[in-house]
Amino acid sequence: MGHILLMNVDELPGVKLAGLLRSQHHSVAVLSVGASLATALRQESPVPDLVILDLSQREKYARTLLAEIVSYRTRYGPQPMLLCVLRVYRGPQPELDLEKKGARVVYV
Amino acid sequence: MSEDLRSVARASETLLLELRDVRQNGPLIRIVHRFHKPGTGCMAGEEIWAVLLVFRKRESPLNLSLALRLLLDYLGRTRHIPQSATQIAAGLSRTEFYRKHGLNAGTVASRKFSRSVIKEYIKRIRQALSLALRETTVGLDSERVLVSRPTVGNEALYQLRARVEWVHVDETPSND
Repeated sequence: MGHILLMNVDELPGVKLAGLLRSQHHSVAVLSVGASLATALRQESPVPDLVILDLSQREKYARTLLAEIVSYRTRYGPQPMLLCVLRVYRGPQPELDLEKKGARVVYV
Repeated sequence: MSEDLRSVARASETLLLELRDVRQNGPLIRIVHRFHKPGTGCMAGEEIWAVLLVFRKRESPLNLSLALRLLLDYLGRTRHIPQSATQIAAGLSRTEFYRKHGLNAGTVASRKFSRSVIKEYIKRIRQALSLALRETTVGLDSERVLVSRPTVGNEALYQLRARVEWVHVDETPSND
């Protein structure tokens, strides 16, 4: 069982994904759109094992969250793991850039 | 339920399984010995050439000095037994492999170890592990790989919690 935090996901898909992950015995929290990572980490204790971040919508906000997670990991250690969701394939470069930041990518 | 969400759930499950695996068993550390004599096992005279952290078939080199390579190799061999800095220093100075390290290349490349030096080297190995672990995408702390265990006294015991494999590169025949 893992502790998962969903970020930048729309309400309906967020609820569905959280339900699916809970059915696999994970504990899931959803960060409301517009909230910062600092807010999420204050609310979430312990630090989540995995953050799922949708990078394909509200791109500026998503990039801000990504930068916050990378900076948090640099300061406090390797947790949480990061899974970025992308919808459009724009060649290998975006995936390589994200992997350099310690993220994994899934295309949907 | 859409297939998109299932893909995300599957990817999440994979990542969490990887995390659980490295938390339970530790990461894979590959130690490369060179100047190995063909037909022999792991013998004194070989050199610890490189130490690599392997994750998802990708090797990240640990940038370690000679003393740190010797210490990590020793901790890898004795990883089933937590040991104090004094015990480690004694083990390193008494084991033939570390006393004759690199002899097959013509000169011995060894170091002297003391209790206080071991403690400093443990910190440096953790730093190198942190840098290499950062390149992997799994969230694992170097203090969970090179563990300090308290005792009932004021001594700490050190233990490497990793899967370790040794690879041997044969001695190159000389041309003269």
